[in-house]
Amino acid sequence: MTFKVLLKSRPTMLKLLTWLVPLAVLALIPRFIDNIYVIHILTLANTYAILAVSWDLISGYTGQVSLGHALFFGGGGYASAFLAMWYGVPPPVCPLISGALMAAISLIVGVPCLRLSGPYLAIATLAFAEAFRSIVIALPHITRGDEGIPLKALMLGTVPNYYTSLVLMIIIVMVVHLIANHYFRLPFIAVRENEVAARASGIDVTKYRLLAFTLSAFFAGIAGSFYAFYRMAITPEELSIDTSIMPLTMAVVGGMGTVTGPVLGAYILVLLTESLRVLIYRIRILIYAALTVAFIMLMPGGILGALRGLVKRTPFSQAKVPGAHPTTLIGHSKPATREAHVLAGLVVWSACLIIWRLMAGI
Amino acid sequence: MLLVINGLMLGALYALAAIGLSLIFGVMGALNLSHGSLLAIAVFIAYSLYLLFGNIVVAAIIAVLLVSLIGIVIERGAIYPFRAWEMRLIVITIGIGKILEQIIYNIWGPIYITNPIYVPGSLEVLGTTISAYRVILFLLSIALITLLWIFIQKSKWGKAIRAIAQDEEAASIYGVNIKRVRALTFAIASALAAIAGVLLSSIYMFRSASGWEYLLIALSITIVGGLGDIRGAIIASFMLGIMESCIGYFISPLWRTTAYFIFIVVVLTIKPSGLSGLWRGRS
Repeated sequence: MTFKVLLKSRPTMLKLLTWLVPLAVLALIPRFIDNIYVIHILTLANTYAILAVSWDLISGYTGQVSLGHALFFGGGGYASAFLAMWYGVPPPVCPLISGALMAAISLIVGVPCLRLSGPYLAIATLAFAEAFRSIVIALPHITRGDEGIPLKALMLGTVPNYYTSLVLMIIIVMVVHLIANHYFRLPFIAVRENEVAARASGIDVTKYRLLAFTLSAFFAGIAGSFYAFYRMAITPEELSIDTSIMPLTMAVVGGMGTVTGPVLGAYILVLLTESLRVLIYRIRILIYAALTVAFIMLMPGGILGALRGLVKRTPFSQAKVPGAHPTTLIGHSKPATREAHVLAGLVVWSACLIIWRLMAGI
Repeated sequence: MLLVINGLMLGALYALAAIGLSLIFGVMGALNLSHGSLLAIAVFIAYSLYLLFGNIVVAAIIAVLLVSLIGIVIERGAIYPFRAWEMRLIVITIGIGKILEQIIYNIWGPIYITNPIYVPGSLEVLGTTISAYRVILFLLSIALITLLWIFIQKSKWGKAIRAIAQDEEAASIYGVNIKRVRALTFAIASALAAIAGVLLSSIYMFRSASGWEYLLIALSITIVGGLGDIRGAIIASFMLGIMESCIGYFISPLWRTTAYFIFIVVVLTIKPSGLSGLWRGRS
């Protein structure tokens, strides 16, 4: 089907609109608000959205939970710091190189673990992230230990940084969308839903999981690198288990196994914690953990899944599908209808706008 | 020599922590990532009770009982209903672990604590002097492990646990009360974690996030020993204990986690089923 024909069909137009309207709103925000704090928070939300999408690629799409994305996020930051400091690599190239380095590291973790079925990847990523953090702390003459490494900013000013993060986020979300929903949609879902059946159908399970894991590490490395340049510092804090939990929470709350879900979750959680910063700062991680547990127990499809269920006028209860395969993370997901896309888009962006208005009021 | 004795002692304590994890994995097929936080919360409960009563032994026993109750609640509320979804259980248990850690952090604050379990005096063993209470810790852990071994091998409940580990459906057909036995298993595992925590807290400082370190240690041990295999876990914990005391002496205690990780990757590459593959492969 040519692009022209595609454009003429109404569902495609609607779908395109639900993508374009929020993007236009996001792109125009700095023109209407000159509150630097709001733009700073949105920049953070964009960065975390990249991280959450990258987590979703391995865990939501191929069903192997990674508990150590802090490794790739913080590792990307440290890689950029070293590249920029020691080798004088120009900063705009740093994110790509650090992403590639993280992809290489992911192979070291992934090759022994992904050959085995079961929870090995979860354990190994958890252990490797902690190990990397302890190496960073154990070598203070190289990594400056707990203090972290300062970096020169990629660019000055909040607004240029915001646009960079937005463009980066859009590009990566598009790439992940193409990979996970078009090129490798079938093998990824087959591997997630039933590993044995996938293997029997001639799908190389290890290959696709490794592919998803490496790409995931690549994108997380880019996010970490941008984060380090934006914050102008990288510390072992970014390697801690809290950082690993964050993309997990965002993807679970937004909706696993989708591309829009994690982005949505990132925006909701960042805006929520920042707008209630005074009240809940001390218990924010408790809230993250509680939200994760609550969502994965009661609403494994996340907000996006719930919205889709609402549109179809059927109670969203994937957990109760008889004969659901035991190894899956989220159960059977059905393709979304276009109304669901429209409604989800509208609800989410109006919610974001309300929160933003509230914050601008403060 | 001192290194080996210290390593054996650490190994015995780690074995207590790791057996619980291994038991849960073996019986329920679930990876309980809140194990470390259960261990840490026992330390803090014991600490508060000690300040209340002034007797550490009573405080420790009550803490262990309370933690096994928490364990039963977690099993009933969060693990049993989702027992068929392996990956969801991972996310649920790590969330619970994080919640417990944050509860500790919000109640007790960012403090480091130790529990004063201490027996004065020292012993002369094979030409080296070691403090008596480390020997007592070692003997206590060994006694507990032996008791657990006898319980699982000989008693009726132990047989039920082994039956469920082999085949849950078949066990329920033969009249085993699955729910009750699962709760019992979880209670035992949490109690073991709590005991390990209370004993370890007399040697090391604890803070709210310390649980994750011990979870990592227990996980390394279970992987090296073979997931769900108690015998392998015991051997692996002594190996790792000795390795740790050697690394702590010759290099730096900071490299501990790194060494564990290298160990995991090497074992997974050479023998994916861990030490248990050595004896399972033969039979």
